[in-house]
Amino acid sequence: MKIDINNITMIYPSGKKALQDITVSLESPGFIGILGPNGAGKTTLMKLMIAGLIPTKGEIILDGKPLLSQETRLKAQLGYLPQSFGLYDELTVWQFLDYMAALKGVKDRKAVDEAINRTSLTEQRKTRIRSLSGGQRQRVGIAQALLGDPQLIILDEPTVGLDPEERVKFRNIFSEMAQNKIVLLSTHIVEDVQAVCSRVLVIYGGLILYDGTPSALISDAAGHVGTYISQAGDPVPTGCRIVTKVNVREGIRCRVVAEKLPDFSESTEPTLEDAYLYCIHKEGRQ
Amino acid sequence: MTKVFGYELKRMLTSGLFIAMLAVNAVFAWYVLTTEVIEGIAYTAPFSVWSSCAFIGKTLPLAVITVLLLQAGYYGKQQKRVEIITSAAPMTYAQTMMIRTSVLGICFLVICLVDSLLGAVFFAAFFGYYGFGAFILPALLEIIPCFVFTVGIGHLAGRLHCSLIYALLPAVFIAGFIGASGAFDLFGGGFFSAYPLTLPIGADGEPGFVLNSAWLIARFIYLAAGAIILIANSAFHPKIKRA
Repeated sequence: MKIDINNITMIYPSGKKALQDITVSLESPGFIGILGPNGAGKTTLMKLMIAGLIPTKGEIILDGKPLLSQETRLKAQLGYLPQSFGLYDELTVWQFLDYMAALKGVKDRKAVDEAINRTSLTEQRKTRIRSLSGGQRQRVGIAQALLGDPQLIILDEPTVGLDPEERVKFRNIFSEMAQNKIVLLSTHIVEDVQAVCSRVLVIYGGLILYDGTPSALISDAAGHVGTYISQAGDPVPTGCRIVTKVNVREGIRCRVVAEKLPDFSESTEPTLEDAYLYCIHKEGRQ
Repeated sequence: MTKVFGYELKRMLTSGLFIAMLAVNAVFAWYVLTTEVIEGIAYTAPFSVWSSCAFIGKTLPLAVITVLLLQAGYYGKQQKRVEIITSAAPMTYAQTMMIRTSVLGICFLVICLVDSLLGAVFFAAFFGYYGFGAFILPALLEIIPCFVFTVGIGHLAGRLHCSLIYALLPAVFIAGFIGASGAFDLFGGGFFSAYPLTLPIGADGEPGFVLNSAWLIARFIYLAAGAIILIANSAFHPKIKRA
């Protein structure tokens, strides 16, 4: 599967410009992480990719043909987990997934049981959805996205509400699936992207600021991340963005990103989170 | 699609709203039977076809109100949240509309069957009357166009805004319980109470049953209008929005 997003601009009827002239190409196999702050345009990009919106300008090409002309074909190969969603509370977990399998045209009778096992919902299979916890509901959402071995998996904040152990487990499941598919993962949890994604898109203000490997993004930030000790009430040095603050015996250890680090700071090895923040920061965008 | 239909039907038939409204419909039907039909409609026998048609016509508005309340669920916030997931499945909007309309149709049918069953029990128990066969065709002519038209309007209203379905409820109430008695009476309660009074009395002491042609034309118009609205509604799906 190959998806070409060509010069996409999306302006909502309210006038909000969500995406500006975005061009990106996705090909299987690939595990692509999308990073960006709230309102950056991540969800809009995902909605465009599932034919849930028509772009104001530009087009999306699926295997050489316009996406909108093959919406049914796309959806037959799609596993989609939105950021916020509802479930039929009156159905049991098994019934809801069986219903979703029928909607997706999944013929394999074992698919529902496989999805239940994969998402550790075996004990809840006969539990009504209204009785599930937030994390369990999220797992039902993930299970429906995995039904029927989809070729394109789009996950918008999939690990929200999951405990750390579950988060690691699921990101490994997604990683396994990406061996022969396109998996698109939008998240605020940079660690998830660092652990599993082979490619990162950084979106901010409707623009793609970075498209490449996580390691290259980290390399870009080398020499732009530093630490220093400050005292309570000290101003943030000009041109710096604080990444973390930790109280230590000498005062407050500040970790900053900056185009030019202050002389009193000590340069340190960047993480992906530092690199992401530096990427957004470096063009004076935040 | 059959399995999806099965689940949608199960969800609707087992919902608290449907069960509660079914009970209310049954109580109301029995009330109509024991307070109005028992005296005979338009000076005809309580078990005449005229009385039977008037009984159906008087119970239909509540059945329609029930269906509109169920239909509102398809356009409510909870459903919209589920649709965020279900709309990513390859089922078309037309198929979804077909399933929803069929589910509502079965709910409507169940209500009408329960009302009719109560009517049958009433006629048998109070009058020892069992000739229900003559009631079927006129009842279907009342029920089907009424359902198709109101469900079509309901889908149209719901698509524009969920609250518009609720705005239809007082309109149904006024039209059904207070309103028309002419051929265009959507439900027939008023028409079948008034029309026999205009007919000559037959040898058996009451007007012979005939279906008025103006009333039949009105049924056809309601049926056609409802079908057109349903088809148009299914053909133009609002899911994809151009900015």
